[in-house]
Amino acid sequence: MTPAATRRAPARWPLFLALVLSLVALATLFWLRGRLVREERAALSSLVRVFERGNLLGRPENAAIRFSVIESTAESYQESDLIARLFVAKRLLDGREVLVHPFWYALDNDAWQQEVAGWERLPVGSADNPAGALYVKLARGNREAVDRTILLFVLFLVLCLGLLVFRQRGKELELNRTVSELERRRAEVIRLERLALAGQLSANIFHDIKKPILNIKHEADDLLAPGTLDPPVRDAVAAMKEQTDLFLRILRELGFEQFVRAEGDSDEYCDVADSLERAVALVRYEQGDVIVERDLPATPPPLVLAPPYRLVQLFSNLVLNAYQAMGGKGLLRLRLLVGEKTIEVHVEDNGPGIAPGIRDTIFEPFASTRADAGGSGLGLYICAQILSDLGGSIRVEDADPRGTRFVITLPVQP
Amino acid sequence: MTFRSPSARLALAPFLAMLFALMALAPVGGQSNDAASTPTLSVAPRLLRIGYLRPEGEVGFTRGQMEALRARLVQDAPLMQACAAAGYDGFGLYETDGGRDMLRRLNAREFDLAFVPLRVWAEQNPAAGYRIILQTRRERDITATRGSMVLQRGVVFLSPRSPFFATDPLDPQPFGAYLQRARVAVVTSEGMAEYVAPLTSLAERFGVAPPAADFLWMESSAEVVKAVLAGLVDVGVCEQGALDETLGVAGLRDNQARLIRPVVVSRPVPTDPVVVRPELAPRDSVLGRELKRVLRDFSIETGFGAVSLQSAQDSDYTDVPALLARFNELIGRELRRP
Repeated sequence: MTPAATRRAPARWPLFLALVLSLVALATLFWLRGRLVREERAALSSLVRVFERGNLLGRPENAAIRFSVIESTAESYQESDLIARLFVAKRLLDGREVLVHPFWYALDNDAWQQEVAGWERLPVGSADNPAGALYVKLARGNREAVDRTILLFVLFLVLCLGLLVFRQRGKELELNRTVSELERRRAEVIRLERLALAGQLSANIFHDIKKPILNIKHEADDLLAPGTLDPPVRDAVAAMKEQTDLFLRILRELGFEQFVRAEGDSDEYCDVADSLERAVALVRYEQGDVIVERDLPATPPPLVLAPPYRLVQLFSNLVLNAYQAMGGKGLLRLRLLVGEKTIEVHVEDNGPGIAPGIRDTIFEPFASTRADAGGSGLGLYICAQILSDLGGSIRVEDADPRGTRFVITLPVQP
Repeated sequence: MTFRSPSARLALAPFLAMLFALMALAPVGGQSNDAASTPTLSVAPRLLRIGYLRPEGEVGFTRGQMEALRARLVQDAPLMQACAAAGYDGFGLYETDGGRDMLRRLNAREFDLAFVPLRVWAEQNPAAGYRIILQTRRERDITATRGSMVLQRGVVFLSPRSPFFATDPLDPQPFGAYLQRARVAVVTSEGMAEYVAPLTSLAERFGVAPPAADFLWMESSAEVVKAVLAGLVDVGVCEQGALDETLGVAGLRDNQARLIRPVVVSRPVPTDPVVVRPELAPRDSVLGRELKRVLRDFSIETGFGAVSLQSAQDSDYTDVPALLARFNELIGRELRRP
């Protein structure tokens, strides 16, 4: 069972608990607001009732009122938290409203009615017999605080919900990407398996073909023994032998026979420079107009103990990568540096280089820089694996002035 | 024998007659001056009667204040000794229903001690003989330049809404005509300082008095000031100290010249007196002296709120009846509250 399968799904109860608590808090805030509104309405109704029952403003035809009673009543209400200011206006017989509380206010404020335009206006008396009006500026500090809290709370909830949705959406996208990647890798694995099968079949076919070709060659050698054939036939057999020699030489030069050989082959002492040349020859069909520059030591380098076909595979992968990175036109530099205990092989191109963001992952499987162009993403991984088996290493650097340089280090046999 | 028989009823008749006779002879009520009544029958205590006006605007006293006064009086040992020596067992409180009621009961000598509005005192029958022992004093009152008599002035003033607010000097004719049609706020108590004195001065200066039928009756001088400043009326008549005090409380004193224009300021009159029956005059009566002392102490202890009491005598009030007579002469009694 994979670790992912054994990993427990994150518990959802904290989220539900937070949701329930938030809803309870919001409901409490709305209840509090409703209560404040009801208290406000009740205070205003009570205020009007006090003025009406006490007949504090009198009838319009009677201007005599008791200012002291109006003042004490108004002040008692203004002491509450609900009413910030209270103006009392008495209606006179001519229809005018005279501000009687504060009694002095209208002296300096002729436009007091404009000032109270935004306040609550509470008529006192009946519609047929109006006594005046109360103008109330409500002290909505508490209510506004609750409103602000509700607004902030709702904004907070919306923000949290948005973040949650965003995060969920991100997870969904990531999951989709992962599923797509898995599908792609699955298809790649299937393709690679087919290639592996094709490789095995090719090896068998070449092995089987090689035997009859060798037989033909040997037969031709026998037939070409002096005095065995007439000159026209001898020429034909010689041409046949030449073709079989050519076939076997090509097969030998390409090292294809070794390349497709099954695993388990034993190590041999290999010439790295020779392996490098054979790798270049192997992938020359991708060379195009690329110029290959070699900087190899004049004397043969020390030998490296390795399966020959694996060195060829290693270098051909790197050379092929370089050709493809340069798009069939550029300069490929191959350098071999001999150290005391190691040999360094530099494979350097002047292509576009590798983006820094993916440089750390290029040796991981399926990390292709040419996924769009059909790259399998296994080439560099295989190189790293081969070097790991051989006790060597590989690293990537920026080439000067541009391009990419792969540096392969191989241990030298004492 | 039953009481239902005619003979039995005849036999009971003499006994019933004796019972009715005894009931008729027995003393009833608390008005008797006889301290040595028959011990076998209950006798109401003889109380020193204190008369006062119930609260009306700025005049009068509350029942609570007077009860506090009575409690204070009975706690004073020298006073109670003097009371006992004079044959009083305690103090009775008698609230009068307005100035008319107070005047009638003063004239009937129903009180031994009374807190009297000045107007009522000026109108009383001199034969009642009450003597002034104290006078009221508020913080806003003025003191005579000579002596310690406490005085008040009346004032007639205009609001900025009056067309004559900025007219200087006032021409008596157009202003008099204006007063005849202007609505004027006055104090319902019709007191000397806030009503009689300023209206008399107004009549003396401009030869007219505004028609009482169009008065706006307010319960105090402060209410008059507020009615004028609020714009209910353009002319107000009130006590000057109350005017200054109301403006001060409202924080308008600095703007006074812009808010009101005094047209007439009356001659000063003394404040409301406290009177006693002539037998209790402090010069002749130990009880009178003790009463005066305790009343003054009680007022200093703020028993009457913002009102304190200070010593006064009849001679301080000699001009008051003349002022009232002048008022009646110039304006007449028709200028009374309808």
